[in-house]
Amino acid sequence: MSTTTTRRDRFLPYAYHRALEFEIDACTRDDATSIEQDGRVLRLGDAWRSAELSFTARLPVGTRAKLVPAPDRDSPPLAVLVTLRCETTRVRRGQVFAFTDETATGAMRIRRDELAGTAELMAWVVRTKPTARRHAGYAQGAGLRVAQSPAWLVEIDRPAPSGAHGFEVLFKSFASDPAIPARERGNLYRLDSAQVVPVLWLNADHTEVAAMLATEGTRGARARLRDVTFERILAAVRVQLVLRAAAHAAADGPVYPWETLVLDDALERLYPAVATTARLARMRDELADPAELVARLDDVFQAQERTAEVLRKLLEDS
Amino acid sequence: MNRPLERPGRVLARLAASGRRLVTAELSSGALERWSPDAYRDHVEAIEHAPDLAPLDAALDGVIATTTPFDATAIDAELACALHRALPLSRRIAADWGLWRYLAVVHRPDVVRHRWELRSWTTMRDRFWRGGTRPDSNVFGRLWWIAELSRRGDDFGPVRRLLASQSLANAVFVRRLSDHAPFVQACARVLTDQPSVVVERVLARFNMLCSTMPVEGRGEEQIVDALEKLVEEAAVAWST
Repeated sequence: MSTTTTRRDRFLPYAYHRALEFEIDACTRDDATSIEQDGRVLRLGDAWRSAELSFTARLPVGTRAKLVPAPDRDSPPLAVLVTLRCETTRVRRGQVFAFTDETATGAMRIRRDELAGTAELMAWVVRTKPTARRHAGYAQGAGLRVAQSPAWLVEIDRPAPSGAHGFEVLFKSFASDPAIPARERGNLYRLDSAQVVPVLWLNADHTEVAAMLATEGTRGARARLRDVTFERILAAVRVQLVLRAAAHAAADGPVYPWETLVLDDALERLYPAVATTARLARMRDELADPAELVARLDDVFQAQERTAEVLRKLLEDS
Repeated sequence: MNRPLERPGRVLARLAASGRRLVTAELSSGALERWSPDAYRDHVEAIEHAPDLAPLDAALDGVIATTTPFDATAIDAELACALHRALPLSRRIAADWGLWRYLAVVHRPDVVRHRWELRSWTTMRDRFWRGGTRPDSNVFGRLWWIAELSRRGDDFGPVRRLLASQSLANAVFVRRLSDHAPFVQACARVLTDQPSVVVERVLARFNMLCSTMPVEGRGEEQIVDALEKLVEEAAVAWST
């Protein structure tokens, strides 16, 4: 089966490097509690007031030379700009760090009372002064970006369990999880339903996608794109949850409390004309032909989902 | 778990999502002056260290007494400064729109009605409920956040300058660039006396520049210089 990937991106009319190395070397909470790191996600946990993030950005000399015109190559007028953005609390600020040879190191202090939800940390390489004259194919003005890193996500608050969906949504690196088969580590999501509260894991390795999925805005194309993506994921996840709950119910009864809630909801949608007490038996019968049951689930959940509506809004904002 | 409300109407609380049913045409028109505690009790949640609302109420009463209904320019600047001074919340706390919904829907719906004339029910509904700093957002949250994003420490002068013109305030605060404090300060310095057509052109152009220039790397003086150049260009284009 072939897959098609659609990616929207901005291409700049000058030399640009999209893979700036940017690593957070240390993250220290004011109470000295250790911090959980998962790929490019930092979970700061509770009860801290401030934290310091130390980082290193690296841009090889050879790459740097390609980003500036010939007269600038002996001493490229470039610096690293590290940005902190938090949509929820409308924090948007940056600090500039100078290169020493190939690297720029620095630290940024963050306060818990100025942040909420998830913040995003990124590094950019920017020109520090304009070119002396025009050079086609190169950024020329001071402040223009010529390189960027993948984002780090700084989780300030653990995402609340979603009452509407009945599961938690969390990020982790699939690449560094040995429990995931190697060829599935590029997947976007993974449902872990063998839990008291099911967890929908989103792959933090897809940094740009993960940053988009972590946004909380309600307006604009980015928010619409996020909603469409979640609709796509939810369509598959709902069916998984119902089938697992149905299989357990048909055998020895529910294993986790969420299974009862999921089944109650699905049975009412699937069999509105059937007496409540007879619905489970009806589903048990239909489990003999799972293809038909999956098709019916798809129909009833589509009626509940907003896929067409969010797609229409995305088109309006595009 | 929801915390019970111990002193209804006396301290700040949050209105849960279920409280949306309390935003009705009757409330927004004033046919219903305000909801009774029995009506909202199940939708309101207490917050930790809830500030006393008496100072806020005194300030709001003062704004209502000294301004004409629907006089946007006079009301917004006064209300934003009074609101922020009476509720010096952290951004983390203020990011909970349940607080602003509590003030608009439960505690002081009269302030929403004093600020906005009911012309369209759907837009008026948003002024009780929607988050953000657009002109159709929750009145309290919009103005508190505009004050937060615009003040220079304890100096609320930039807040007043930006809110002196609705077209300027709208043009600045519908853009996420307004999350960057130096940008907001630069707008307060450069754009306050400009006609709205110039403001809109300048900000659209500056927004475009920021697609290749992270605004976080620009300081206030650099943004002032950039805006001044764009104002000159826009003024020339407008006059020819």
